Amino acid sequence: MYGFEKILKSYTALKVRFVFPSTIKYPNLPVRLDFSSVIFPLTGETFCTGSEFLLAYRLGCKIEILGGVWIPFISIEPFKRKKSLSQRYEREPLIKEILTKVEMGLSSFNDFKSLNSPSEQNENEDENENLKELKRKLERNSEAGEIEQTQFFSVVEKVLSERIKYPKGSYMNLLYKFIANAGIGQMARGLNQKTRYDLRSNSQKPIPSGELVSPLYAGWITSFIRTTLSEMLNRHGDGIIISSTTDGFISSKKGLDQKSIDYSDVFSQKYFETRRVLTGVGALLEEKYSEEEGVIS
Amino acid sequence: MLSEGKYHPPTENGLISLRNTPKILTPTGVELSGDLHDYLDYFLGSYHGGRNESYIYGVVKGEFHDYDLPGAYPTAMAMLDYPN
Repeated sequence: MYGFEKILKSYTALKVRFVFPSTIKYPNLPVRLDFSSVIFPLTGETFCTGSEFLLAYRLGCKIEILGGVWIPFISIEPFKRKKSLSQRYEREPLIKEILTKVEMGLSSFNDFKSLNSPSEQNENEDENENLKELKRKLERNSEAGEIEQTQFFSVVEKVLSERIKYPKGSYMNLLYKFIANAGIGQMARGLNQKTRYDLRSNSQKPIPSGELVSPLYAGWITSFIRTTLSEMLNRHGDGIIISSTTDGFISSKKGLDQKSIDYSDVFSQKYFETRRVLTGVGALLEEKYSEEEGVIS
Repeated sequence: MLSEGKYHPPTENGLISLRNTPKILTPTGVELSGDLHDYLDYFLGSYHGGRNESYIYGVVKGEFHDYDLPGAYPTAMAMLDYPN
């Protein structure tokens, strides 16, 4: 059995026969039923990736490997730099500027506190609290673990660092979001030979692939997110989960976005650390919406 | 398992490309695609989209919260590396 990292950091595709323990509520191996349906049963036969195999194994699944391919990530360790948030802050002028402002804000507030009027003092106290909170946040984040910086990492980092310069929901913020997602869409484009309406011939034609198509990359990305989601579903515990949708789920549990990371959840941890180094924000989940009355599913 | 260092992108020999998947599954495609057929089936088979499921159907009363992984696919993409 190869080590966890060796399988995760590879393009692995396996044909497997599997049986999950009956106590597993959310099995994670996808089985195709027909042209439009994929289910996640307790037992079956399917193709899966390395990350799906690893989670299934951790969930106690009995797996028989019928065949497969393992292609490791390229080994360029001597040239590959490990990257941590503290290094990022040293290089990032914007972050440095914020840190300087925090320091200056705190000292100027302490120096001139006595000269301000009471209303100004209240405003300054609020500002001071915000600055302190920001500093605490930055300090917390700088303790983030190291992750490897690959060329893919650099591309994503460039796009995301542009994105976070703009307020959430703003036009430019959304534009950079779509640029990042479009790149991934191109990796999978045309793999399924899906059709679309062609005006010229008045018929449905297969969507052609582009230059960036790669089932290795596309499969790794989508399966890693499915696996991270499946891990969270299985660790959800009490409460109700209504549904899951690619990168999220609807739950009766409050405050999951505030919950600190459980380091035994290996996939969530990997995701969390990468996200934290990429954006400087330490959040695994984000609450998009809450409903007090109930839902129709 | 492919031996280490032996992987090359399917487009590398310049004769066959993943841009035209149906052509790979022809007699000419099989012969021209080199080692591609040793692994392509596995990777195409293991490619699936997102996990979209409903676990409960109908009206469910109570408080519910919709959570998501922010920037999920770009974050996963940042963890990729070239195949060896």
